[in-house]
Amino acid sequence: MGNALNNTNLGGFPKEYNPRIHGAYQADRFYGTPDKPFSSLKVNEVFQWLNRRDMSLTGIARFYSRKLYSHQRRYHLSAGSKGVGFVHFALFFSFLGFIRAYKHDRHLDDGKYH
Amino acid sequence: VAQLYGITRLSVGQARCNTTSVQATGSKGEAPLWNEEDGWVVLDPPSDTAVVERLAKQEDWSNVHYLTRPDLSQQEKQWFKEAYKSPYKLYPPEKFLLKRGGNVVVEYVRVPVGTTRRQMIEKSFEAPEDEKDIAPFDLKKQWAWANKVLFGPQRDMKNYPSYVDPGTVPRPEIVHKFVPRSLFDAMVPYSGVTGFYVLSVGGVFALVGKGVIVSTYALSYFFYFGIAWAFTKLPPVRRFLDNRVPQLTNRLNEMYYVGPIQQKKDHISACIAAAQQTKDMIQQLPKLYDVQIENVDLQLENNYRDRLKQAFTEVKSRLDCQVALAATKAELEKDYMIDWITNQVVQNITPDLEKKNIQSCLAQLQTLSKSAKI
Repeated sequence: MGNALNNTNLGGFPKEYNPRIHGAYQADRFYGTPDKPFSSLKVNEVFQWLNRRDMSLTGIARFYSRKLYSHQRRYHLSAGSKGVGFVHFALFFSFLGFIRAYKHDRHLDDGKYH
Repeated sequence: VAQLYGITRLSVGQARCNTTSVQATGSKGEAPLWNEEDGWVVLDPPSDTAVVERLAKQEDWSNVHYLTRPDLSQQEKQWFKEAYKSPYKLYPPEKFLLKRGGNVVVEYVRVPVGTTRRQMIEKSFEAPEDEKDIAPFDLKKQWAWANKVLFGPQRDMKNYPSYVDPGTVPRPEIVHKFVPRSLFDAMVPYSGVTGFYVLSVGGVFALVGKGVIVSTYALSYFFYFGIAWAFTKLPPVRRFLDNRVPQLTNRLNEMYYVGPIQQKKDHISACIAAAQQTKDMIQQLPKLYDVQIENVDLQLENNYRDRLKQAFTEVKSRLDCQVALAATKAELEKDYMIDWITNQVVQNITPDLEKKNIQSCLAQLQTLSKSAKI
């Protein structure tokens, strides 16, 4: 059963990363094959684009981590940031709290005299 | 674990030997024992003594088994064996071993004649002799290796430029304290300048109307903050606030920050002035001492003069007494003598002598009365 771990990459750099080509590792960059950005896609290309993406658990985790690092680099570590990163963080988790509490007051939706 | 990622040998005892990037050739000198691209590879201990000596000269002890090390003493071989066999014991570093003659640290380096200053400085940055074989770490080699890897010929500088310190990059533009300007400007060609505001506010109202955001008794309190914020944006309120808020903040600042600091500064300058005054007073103290000494001298002089006067008066009184005594004695003698003489004379006055004296006096008077002009 230990043989399943032979070709895995737990806690290591992505397979496509090569320091001789890419230089020092930066967590907020994507080191795979360059693809079109999402904002420049047409509607009929969206599904093809998503199929090309790595939708495994590690891929999603890498995407999330990249977004966190890039947001941190842009809004938190920059000069004169003044707490904007914290505000975004709080807003994001407020939204998650809203989602979590969505069902809390649904009994009031059908109120006739609201 | 029989098969581990990146290791080609399987034995546990051999897996405990570390390898470094050493150009290790085979004992016959044909094929290399280790290729760099294989990564972490465990080698068998070499049986050739020539290889052992070569590796010993390179001061790379990692590929050399302890049984083939001729430079170690018996005790050190025993220590190494124990450390090798036990997973917990550590071979003591050389600097902690007790040596004959005492553990003496010598801080000089033998250099040949003609060594330049640069060479001496570079030598000073090397690790000391007793640590070179324990952990062969060369900073210059590490940097050279990193430079070769990260900035070699394959490096794609166009798409992956070198690292930029995020602290040197300014923050992206932000509108209303948390909205990035890029999002704001991206909406302008689609929904105009007020697009973001219409979407956010209208979206909130739409969701409330549809029932996604439930309108409870507490929802109105959320809108009060927005109304207050919009109220502060009105020009008269803005003008008033721009005048009043700095006034109050400056008052607080003066009370709690500037005031105490100024008090401390004033106190310090007062202390300095007092100290300077004390110093000046100390400078003038010798004059005071002279005055005090003069005062004492005057008192002593006064006492001296009093005693002198006292002595003089006493002496004078004694002498006056003597004088008075002598005078009294002389007067007594004089009076006694006069009295005695007169008494003797009077005693010796006979009546006929007295008669003759009176007759002579009368005769003289008669003669005088004749010559007198009355």
